[in-house]
Amino acid sequence: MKQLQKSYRFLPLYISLLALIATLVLGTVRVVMALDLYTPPNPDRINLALSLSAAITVLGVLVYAMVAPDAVRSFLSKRQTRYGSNALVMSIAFLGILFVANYLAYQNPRDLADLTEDKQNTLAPETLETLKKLPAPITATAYYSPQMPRDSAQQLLQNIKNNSNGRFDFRFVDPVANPVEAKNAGVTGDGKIVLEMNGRRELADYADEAELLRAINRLLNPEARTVYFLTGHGEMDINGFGQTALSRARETLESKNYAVKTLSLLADNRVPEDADVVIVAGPIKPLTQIEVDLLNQFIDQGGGVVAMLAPVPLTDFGDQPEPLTESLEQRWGIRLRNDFIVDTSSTMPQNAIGAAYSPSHPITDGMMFFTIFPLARSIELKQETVEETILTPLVQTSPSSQAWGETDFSVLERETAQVSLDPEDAPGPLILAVAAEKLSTQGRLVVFGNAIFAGDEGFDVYGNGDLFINAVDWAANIDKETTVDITPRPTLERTFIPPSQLQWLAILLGSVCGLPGLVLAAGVAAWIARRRRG
Amino acid sequence: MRNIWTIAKREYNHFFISPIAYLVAFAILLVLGIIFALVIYSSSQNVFFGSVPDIRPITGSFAFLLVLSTPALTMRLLADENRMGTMELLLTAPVRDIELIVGKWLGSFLFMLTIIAITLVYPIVLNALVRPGIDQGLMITAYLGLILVAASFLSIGVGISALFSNQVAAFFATLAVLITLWWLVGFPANYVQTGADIFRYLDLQTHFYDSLSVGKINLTDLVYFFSLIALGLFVGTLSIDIRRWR
Repeated sequence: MKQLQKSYRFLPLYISLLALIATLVLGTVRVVMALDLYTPPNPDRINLALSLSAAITVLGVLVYAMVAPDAVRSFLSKRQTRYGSNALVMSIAFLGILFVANYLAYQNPRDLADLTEDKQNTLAPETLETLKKLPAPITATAYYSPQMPRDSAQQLLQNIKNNSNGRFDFRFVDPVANPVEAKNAGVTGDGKIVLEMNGRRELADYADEAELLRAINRLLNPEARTVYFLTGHGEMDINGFGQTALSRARETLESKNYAVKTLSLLADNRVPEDADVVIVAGPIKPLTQIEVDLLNQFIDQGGGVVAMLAPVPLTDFGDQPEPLTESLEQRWGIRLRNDFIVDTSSTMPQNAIGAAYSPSHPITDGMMFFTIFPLARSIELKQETVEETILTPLVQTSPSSQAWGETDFSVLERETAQVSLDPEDAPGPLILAVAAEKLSTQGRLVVFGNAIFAGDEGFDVYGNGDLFINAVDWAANIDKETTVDITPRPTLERTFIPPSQLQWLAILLGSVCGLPGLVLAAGVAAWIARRRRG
Repeated sequence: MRNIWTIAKREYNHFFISPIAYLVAFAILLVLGIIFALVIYSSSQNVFFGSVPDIRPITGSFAFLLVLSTPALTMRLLADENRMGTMELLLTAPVRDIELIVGKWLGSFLFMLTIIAITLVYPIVLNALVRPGIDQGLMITAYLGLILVAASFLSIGVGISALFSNQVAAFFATLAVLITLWWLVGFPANYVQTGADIFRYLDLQTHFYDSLSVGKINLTDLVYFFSLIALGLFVGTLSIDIRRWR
């Protein structure tokens, strides 16, 4: 019996070993299942088999310990076992510490510093401010197929998450592998990000900080405002392209929750009820008195109007009466001079540079850049002629520059014409834009002596776009905090000075032959010295 | 501490009489020199498009070269002691296992720092060609990242070298681990839903290229790199410890 017991005492260990192998195999399958790489027909059976094999492994060792206690005691008292178990415990403890440290670091990612000079990796203050005020958690789902590079999106979303105080999380979904989820989210393309808060969804078309901020703002401010662009007088086209188009302005307004529409006052004979702002963008033909009356009526009811009026020679006004400019002068004390600004501080004198901003007005208090107004007319304010109206000169030419309102339009047709400040010209500094508010009705008006500064070619030039958007925001009476857009980050312009032929040759020889050659020569010298020493 | 410094100095000096170390330094500087010349040439050709070079092509390429060159530097560190039988002598010396491993690692790290220091000539030249100079902050973090990658790789190399008595085996084992950390481990992140974050976290490239290489210092990346360094040194120390009582 004892002989039999001795012969079969290793049997539980063998069984335990086989069960251990099975546990490892099944454990691997379980990991593969957890990673969604493979799903067997009966996943529960895998789980059951894994539990059973693990139990048999432990049971086998325990049975062996019962059958052969002396062998176990001897094994445990061995020096190698003692040291081995010490090493095992130490390893587990060390790996445990590493795991915990990395887990905590992963769960609490923190940017310690952004050392780039332009702070390229730091979120804009507007984004940080918005993230601070998130009323509820936002979940971003980025729909990226394996073919779509996701590194920059991952980095941006992680950056936002790091600064959200736990209120922003994200995940990636492969729209090809999960077409139903993508379809339910309304995603039709690759690289889109859907933000969800309190059951509401907003789509960001691409992974860009400004785009994501706009989407978050839309989530936070679901009520859209409506902007109407007046049509029928050759105004700038909101759907076209080029200098006289306002596509960039339209896109920016839309991304800021504005519904952008067109309006024909002559056809409709009224300003729609949902209008918050009506924009008159560079009409070529004069507005009729009826239209001007409708606009005045709209302002009197608390609406906002943005009028962008180019110098007369750039229009087809001719000698026709201009009810709009007349109304602006009589009702608001805003006189648009019949001139165009010559600004000698500009490399192209016909481009007036908006260099002085009203520091106290919401439209211009955050302006960081110049604004450029190609062929603008100057504005004169007659505060004394109007009551209960606050007139603010928003933008002026630089007080230190020599600018004037040139009244001799014939110089525009002569390429080599000499222009100078004549007695009939208005001397600088000249007003380029004005904001006016009726205290009684809260009606708001912004007047620019130029329109193409907001056109597609001018919108992204320095602060032009910001000024236009801020003007619309103010005219729409929107609290600035809810319509923030990313302030353009000042970047240090770097230029590369190409090396001369000689310098280039020196760089080529130095980097390809010089440095490696020196190391090679040092190596050979060391080798020779070593051989000499024997 | 003195023991560590003594061993480190000995190892550091040993690199300067080792032909492999010179070959590694030569290969790294040759490849980086060619890349640098190409960067300057390409920027000169595209100067009218506003192309301004920065240091990232150099540091990025250097980090990649470390995958291939580190195993060559670390393979002999302990494997050679095992092969030549000098390990027994070291074990009987009044030096703790951890001091031996850290000393070996520090010696190789200082040698790599020397090569890295030589490459500082590239940003100096670039700085002279760019007005008003290259982004110094970006350069600092990129080089910090490079140093951390080198320290991690060398630590892994030292740890693996302690496991083998054959240099070639140590070389290929280190290379396999570094390739896994550099390429393979992050690969599934694009293909799996669950656990993608774990793979992405383990991917060493992410911690370098997406963070330090772009001017950002992140706590997670620092913890990751220091963990790798600690893990490599721990494996080496444990290996020596096991050798004592086995």
